Amino acid sequence: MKDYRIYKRELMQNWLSETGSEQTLLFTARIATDQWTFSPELREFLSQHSSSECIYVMTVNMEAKHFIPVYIGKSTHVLKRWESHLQGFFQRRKTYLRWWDLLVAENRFCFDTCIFVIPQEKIVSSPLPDFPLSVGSVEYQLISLASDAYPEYLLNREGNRR
Amino acid sequence: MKDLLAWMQSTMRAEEVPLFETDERGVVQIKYQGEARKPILKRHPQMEEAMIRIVEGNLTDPRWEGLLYIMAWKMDGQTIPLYIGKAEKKGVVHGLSANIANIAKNKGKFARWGDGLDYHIGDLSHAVFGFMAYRKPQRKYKRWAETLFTGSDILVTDPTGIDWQLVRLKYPVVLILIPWFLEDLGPSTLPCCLSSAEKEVIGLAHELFPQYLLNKDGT
Repeated sequence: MKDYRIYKRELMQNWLSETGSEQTLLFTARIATDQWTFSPELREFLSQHSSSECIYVMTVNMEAKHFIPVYIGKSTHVLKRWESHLQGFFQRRKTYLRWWDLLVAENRFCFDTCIFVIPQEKIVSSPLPDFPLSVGSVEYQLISLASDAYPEYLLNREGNRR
Repeated sequence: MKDLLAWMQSTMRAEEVPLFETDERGVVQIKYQGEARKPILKRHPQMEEAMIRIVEGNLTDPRWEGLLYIMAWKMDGQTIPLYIGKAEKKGVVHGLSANIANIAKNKGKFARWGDGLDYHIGDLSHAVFGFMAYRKPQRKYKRWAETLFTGSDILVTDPTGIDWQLVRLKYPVVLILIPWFLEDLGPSTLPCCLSSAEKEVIGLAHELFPQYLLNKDGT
């Protein structure tokens, strides 16, 4: 059997690809953090699934088609949730310092960073084989996979190994 | 779908113990803590013995990552998971987690099942009895109390003269303790670290026991 961490990476990548989930660019590599603005396009993207519960996955893009999940959550109000995340991030609140450490160096973004949003109706397969399809369960499956596949990147505090 | 209960039964190291010390009617016994003589629900001696034995027996093993625990009802021979959590060997700040250090004398934290506030037994006692503390009882543990207990007609008077009404278990409550070692297999049958295994178990229980599960996230 191949290294289970590689297999878990493949499970995550495949699931994100198979859901056909929409993504948008949140931060652009090498751009100064003080030049970032909450663009109307980003706001529009985050508000488009306001009627259903969604999984969201923040990824950093290492190379073409290879993205590393760094934060996983769920919400029925994705725009509101991200307004709160971004406020905490740019104000460097204590709970977001690890975000800053990973994503920023010398006040510039280190990676192209994206957000995937997967509404409940787009979930037709589970990330872990033979696991449930509900949003709550899928969120936990993704955190579980990322905890083993990308422990050095995962920003979910509760989900990651020590 | 993966069978969570079958996985739990197949996990050879899993150990099931009663969580609370009760009388023959299921009334949970209490003890008094500190100068204020706060009433605290008593852990079952078997639970304390198992916890101390597991932690002390594995602490020096570099492959041991900590404990996965599942609080569950035993109902008509069935196991109904109610709450899933973990106590890691490694601390956030120190090398060894304060939650499990010096476990035999560490009844305040006791691998997350301690008598202190911010620990399961302390917070649950706070929710049941509503005694004075630096903060109000937490909503999470009020949900636990509503789920686990019903009232009893037994009043006890503490050493300061205050009466406390004891509570009775609705159903027997057990704690399933699973010592977790590096790359043990989770319900997915894949090797998992402890935190990964915890998320797999909650992810399954979320679907199989949605009406019972007390884990707030994932429900």
